[in-house]
Amino acid sequence: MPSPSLQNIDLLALLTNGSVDRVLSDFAGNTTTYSVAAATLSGGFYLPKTDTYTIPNPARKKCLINMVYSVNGVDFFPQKYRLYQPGNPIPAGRLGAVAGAAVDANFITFYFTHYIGSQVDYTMFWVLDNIL
Amino acid sequence: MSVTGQLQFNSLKNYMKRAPSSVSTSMLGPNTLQFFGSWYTRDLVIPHGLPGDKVPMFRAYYEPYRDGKVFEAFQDTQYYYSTPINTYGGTEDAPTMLAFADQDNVTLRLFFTQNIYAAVSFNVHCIIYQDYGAVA
Repeated sequence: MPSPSLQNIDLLALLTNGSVDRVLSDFAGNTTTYSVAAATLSGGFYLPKTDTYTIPNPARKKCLINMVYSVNGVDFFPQKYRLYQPGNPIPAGRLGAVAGAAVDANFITFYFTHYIGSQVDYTMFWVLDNIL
Repeated sequence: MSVTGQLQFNSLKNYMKRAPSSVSTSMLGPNTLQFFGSWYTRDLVIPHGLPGDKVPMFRAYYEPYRDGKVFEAFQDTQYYYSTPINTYGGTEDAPTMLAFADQDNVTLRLFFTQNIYAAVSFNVHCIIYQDYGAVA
């Protein structure tokens, strides 16, 4: 029976035999920042600059991560592990920087690659939930 | 109030319900019969069982380095060759994974550049959502 206080049908009670996404750590506060040094200019081309950054996994179990990243604090993109054909210089409209993440029972590892000639300040918003 | 084994609760949040066909399992490395000139593939086909010819929303993850690290599927239809993360000179052959769905199945496809892991298992995790999806 719906709660008498229920006013929005879109928030109707859940009735299921299956599982749901159970978030292990709230989105708020799950912001990680990390700066990657500038790519090196060599022969007129920027070499790919890769880096990793590891933090403890607050869930302390293997789980799934959803993440978006930004290099300007305004525009956020889905995580991406690999950057291809950025061009030298980076073509107009291309970001030239990616970030992805992996989770094991103990750590969250962030992976970065960029082709930018100055320090890149990444911001990552992430959330963890159960595998099943 | 009868107890039927179902969970019922009120909440001010919306929930994404997962279909029972969601799986956490393992799949073998490259199928040597699926060689396409410079890469091998292996498919894991998961019948999703959603009614009404729905193509479900889904999330796919895998453990390409077999070390317990869970990565999201690569999901880049232009560049899917090994390895999943930039190593630039690395010699490992960790697979990349694409995942795609139709009215019947969600398919997880691993891509390898070598066949050395043909007999090795890779953990994969696929979340299939129950009530969302396009009707093709």
